[in-house]
Amino acid sequence: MAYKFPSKEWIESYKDTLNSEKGKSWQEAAKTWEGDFLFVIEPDEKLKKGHTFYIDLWHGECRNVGSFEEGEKVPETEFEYKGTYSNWFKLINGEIDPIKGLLTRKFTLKGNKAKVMRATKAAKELVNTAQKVETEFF
Amino acid sequence: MVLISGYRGKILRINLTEREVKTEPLDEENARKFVGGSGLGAYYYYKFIEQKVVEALSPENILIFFTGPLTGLPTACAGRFSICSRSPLTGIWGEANSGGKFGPELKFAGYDGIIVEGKSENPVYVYINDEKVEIRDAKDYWGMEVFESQEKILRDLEDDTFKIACIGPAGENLVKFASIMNDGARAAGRTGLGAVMGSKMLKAIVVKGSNKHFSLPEEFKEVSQEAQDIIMNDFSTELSHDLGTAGYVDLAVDMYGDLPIRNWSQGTYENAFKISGATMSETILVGRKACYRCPIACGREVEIPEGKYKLPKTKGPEYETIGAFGTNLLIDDLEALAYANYMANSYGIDTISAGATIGVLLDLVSKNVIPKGDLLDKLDYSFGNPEILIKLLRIISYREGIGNLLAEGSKKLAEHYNQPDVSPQIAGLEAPYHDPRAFSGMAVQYLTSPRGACHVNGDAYLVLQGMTFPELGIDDIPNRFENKGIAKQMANIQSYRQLYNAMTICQFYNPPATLVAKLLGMAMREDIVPEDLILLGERIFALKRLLNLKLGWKTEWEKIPSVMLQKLEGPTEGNIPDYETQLKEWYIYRNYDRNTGEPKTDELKRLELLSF
Repeated sequence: MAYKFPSKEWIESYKDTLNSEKGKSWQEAAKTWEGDFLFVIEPDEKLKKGHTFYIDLWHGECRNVGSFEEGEKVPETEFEYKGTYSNWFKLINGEIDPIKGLLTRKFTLKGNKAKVMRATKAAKELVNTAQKVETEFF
Repeated sequence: MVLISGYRGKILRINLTEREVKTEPLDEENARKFVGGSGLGAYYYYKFIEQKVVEALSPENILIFFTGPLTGLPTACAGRFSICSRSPLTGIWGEANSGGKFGPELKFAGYDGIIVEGKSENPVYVYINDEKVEIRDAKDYWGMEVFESQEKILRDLEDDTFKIACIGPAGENLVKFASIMNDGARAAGRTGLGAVMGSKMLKAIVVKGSNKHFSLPEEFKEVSQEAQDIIMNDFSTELSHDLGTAGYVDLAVDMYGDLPIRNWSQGTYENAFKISGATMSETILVGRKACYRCPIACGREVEIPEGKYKLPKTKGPEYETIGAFGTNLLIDDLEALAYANYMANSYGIDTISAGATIGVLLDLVSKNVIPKGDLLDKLDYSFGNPEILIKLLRIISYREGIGNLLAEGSKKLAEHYNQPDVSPQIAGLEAPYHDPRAFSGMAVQYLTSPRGACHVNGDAYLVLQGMTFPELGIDDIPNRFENKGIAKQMANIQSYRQLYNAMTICQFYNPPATLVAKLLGMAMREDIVPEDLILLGERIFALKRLLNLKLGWKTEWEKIPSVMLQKLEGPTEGNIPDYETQLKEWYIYRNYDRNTGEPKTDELKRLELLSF
């Protein structure tokens, strides 16, 4: 079944995928990772209203997720990764990787860069695993 | 006196044989054509060899220091300058670029550049204080290491505001990859120009200038601010500021396989995180250091208060040095690397070539190629041993024992033991720590670079990660392993970086090309649009090619040694660049003859180089 991106159903399916056999590569790469993220999807010509996902990652496990419409109060997190809907589309489809997204100014990152630089493999696998969620884009 | 805003309109010509100092007007017409820095340096060197080609270490050779029209101006990242000559390491065009504060100070003293001729009988240094220029005795400094020399010179001058470019023991001993050090530990490291300086018995140039004024339009300030605001919100800038250039180490090793490991022969290295910029920031980092007017401040200041590798507050290792001494030699002790970096700077030796040459030695020892009698006794020549690195840096710099052979560079070392393909060099210059197996386009950049394998004459590794310059035709970025159809992007980034080294500004400063064109235009009092940036770069690139052909460079040298082409596991995914395909397309795009390497006549005409 395909889930609309972004939606509560999509992020929950993503959590299940990360914690399943399909998420093995990420689990291995992220086994020492501790930290939660806001994934901020900014509106553009393809998405009218912004959306934010919350995702809590801990030692190769996705412990919790959340989905927030524009204007809703979001949790405080250690990191924030932000880009437009069109760029999230490219990221999830594998056209750009999460670090390349930052270098090309398609995404911005708030938080401790030293910690993220040590986890580039995990970041890459996090995106690879997102590609395993059946996704329906607008 | 010329009236171009960013130039001073005069250069110094210093003849050490005759002990004579002259000023002469800047060649304004050719400054407009070749801009400055290594571009204008190439023009002056070309004019020199039109009369006679001489060996790099001949007393007749010249050594050129050149600033660019943006050096010292009130704009970000304009603290760089170039040093040029024939390289004693490669025999072809040699240029080294450095940040720091020496370049701007030379401009403040009233000079765009210095041409050093001849050879002194005794050690000397050149003293420049605005119009007062003297050749002074340097016997008290000869034999001293870099930091000691700089401190003593400033003490003796009783003025610590002078800026110094000097050599250490490596330059004095004509080590073929000796650097010229300035502003403490800033290195003009590549191609061995410290040996050219040493061959002239020139220990140092000290400079102090009083005129920081440049006649610039009011708009210059606004455009500078606009450009700075853009780059300060850039992730790569933030990364360089927070973690230094070594902040790229984790990414290079884990994500791309860009950082060569164990003399280019290993695909992964799980201890890389121990020596990365991230780890440095959490351990030995005590501050940051910026070049003149640089808001990025990628320079690291480190201190090791106690222990085996105790260090005073000093410059920390950059990405290239972490690669050269760290991953390349499998040394995962960050304190040891910081110490080795300090010693290399103190000896005045290029860390890129030194690390590569030591890597070749250790590789040859591991293959039992080197007879025991050739090596120093009781030392462990294994990869992963910091003590051998520190020892070898010293004996190279002083040319002791096998250090005398290593001081000739990795190519000569490998050839000496009949293993030429073990040396990771192209055209005699040891490759920097960006692997063409990670980014295929680096192959054509290395092969066609004017000074041998080089990452600042074309940084394809950044372009292939997605850094675009749409106004310059550097967009539509292909897959990082692609070989076909990349000639335009690869040639254009090469040309753009030629211009960067001529303007001269830092390659970490990459605002949109429209703003760079405006800034350069105001500095040169010319109407410059983005397309002109590529044209200027193409002209400089072609001039350096003509120069190299006169110095003996051949297209047969466009080969990558097999040590750099082994198939590796890990993030390079077994990729091996098809450099023949890349070269074929590159020659067509450049409009150069594939067999002779020469730019074709219509290309020379387009670039206004027919008289060369």
